[in-house]
Amino acid sequence: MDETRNGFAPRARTAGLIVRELAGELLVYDRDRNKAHCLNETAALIWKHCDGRTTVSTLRDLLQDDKVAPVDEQVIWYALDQFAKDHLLQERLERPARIGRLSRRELIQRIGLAASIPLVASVVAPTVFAAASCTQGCTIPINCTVPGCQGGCSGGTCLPG
Amino acid sequence: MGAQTPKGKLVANLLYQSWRPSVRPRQISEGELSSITTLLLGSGAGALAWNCIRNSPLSDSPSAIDLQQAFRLHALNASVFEDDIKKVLTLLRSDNVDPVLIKGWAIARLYPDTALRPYGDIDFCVRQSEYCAAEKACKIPESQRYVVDLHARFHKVYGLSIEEVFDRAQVVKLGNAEVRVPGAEDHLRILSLHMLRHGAWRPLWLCDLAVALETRPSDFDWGLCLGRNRQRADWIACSIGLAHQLLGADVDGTPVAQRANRLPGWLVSNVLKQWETPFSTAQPPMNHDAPMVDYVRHPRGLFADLLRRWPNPIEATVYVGGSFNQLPRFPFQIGECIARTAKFVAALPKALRETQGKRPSIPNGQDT
Repeated sequence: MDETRNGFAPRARTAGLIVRELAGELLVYDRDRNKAHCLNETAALIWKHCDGRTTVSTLRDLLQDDKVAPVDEQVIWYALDQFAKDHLLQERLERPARIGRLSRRELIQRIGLAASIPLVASVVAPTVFAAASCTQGCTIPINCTVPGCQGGCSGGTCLPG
Repeated sequence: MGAQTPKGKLVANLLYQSWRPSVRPRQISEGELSSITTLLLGSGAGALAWNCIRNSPLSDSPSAIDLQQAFRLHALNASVFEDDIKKVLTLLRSDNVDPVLIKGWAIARLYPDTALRPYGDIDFCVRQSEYCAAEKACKIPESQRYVVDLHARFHKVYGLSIEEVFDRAQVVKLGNAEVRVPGAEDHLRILSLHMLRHGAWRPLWLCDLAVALETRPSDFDWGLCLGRNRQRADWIACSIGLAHQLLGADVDGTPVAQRANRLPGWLVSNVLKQWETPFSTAQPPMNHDAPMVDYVRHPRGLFADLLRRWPNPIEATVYVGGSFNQLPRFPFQIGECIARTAKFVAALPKALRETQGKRPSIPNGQDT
């Protein structure tokens, strides 16, 4: 992450990620960690602007323009925290001392609109994929969607786990 | 829809014209949706089902959330596969192999979104003369992460040679790469006969047929698709008829329209019955306890496993080259059993030699 004169400029990771945009959300698959994430509209907007040049304060302005309402900088930091936790940023996140860490509940209390809170959720296979078996074909572990058969992908077949 | 509507019929109703860019609202209750969610997810139709209910009041129901997750996973999988296809193509082309991609992405690309049609491998047709080079390219360590199925010939049921498919193949864009896929006529024939050959147990196959039919080019050559063999042409017409009657595929103005509206009752009811368990694990050979050769030495459980091998009437009719008419299917099923038994007996000495000293694979074995 670069630190410019105006503040931090986070950079989104690109290597090893497969990104797919769907209506109102962004799906990110981490090939290295075999994890899939779903970013809601607010999180997607922030993540897409994490180019290593756009500072946190500019990100806030961009989000503000999009939402046509004042946006607290805490919203941006909340999103960045989630990106960092899910290894979606290029470099380690270093939060300025003046910015405290808020929980989702605290953020909702402060901002009010739950829908505006950036959210990064895991995409997991539905538990009712029950009727298939570990004979499911795969190229990579994410193909293994059957509960009980998510132990990885070997030789083109999902492994128990 | 009544409370007693069979699940196969519910699946058909939900997937009705589900491949179209604009989907009409569904008349299905939350309870009915919940009762078929496992069937939809297990058969790979979860994303299509989500597409049908995403703008309805059901979209917040627990079943819908599962279907949406399936859609998201399929979307990511599609992106991964598209990336993989390009990489495998580069590898093959560096060895002077230029394959034709069939099934999988070749059909998913016809849906409004490739995420609606999941697939689990990459099927490439290669010329016989290029097969060894293709196989070699797929065995190098760099290729091991990809699930590639190479085909150098088609089963006789298709009545197609690899050369014919290559000659009529079309080039389409996959991102910035060019991919050869079968011509629309060959593809519709392959999809129809593939579905019948496997007993039409998967609803997604009928959706594939419908989408291929409705996206066919204006110069589609029906003579080429149906071919000269009258029996095969009738099978293709009947499979399109199934897509019309069960899923609302538009057959207006096609030479198969009349046949599509006049299918034998057993055919439609059999497909709906199968859609009550549309899982690969419920189909042969996955539902077999052990290969037949194992029972020669260890006959325990043979009778139960023989019952599991009783052929599906659609598959049996195609296997013995029969017609889809009103006659009972029993003779065709017996015919298939006899033909398979003869094949088994002929191959038995070799199979016994190969299995000598090996432990039986009961239970959960798989035919080779």
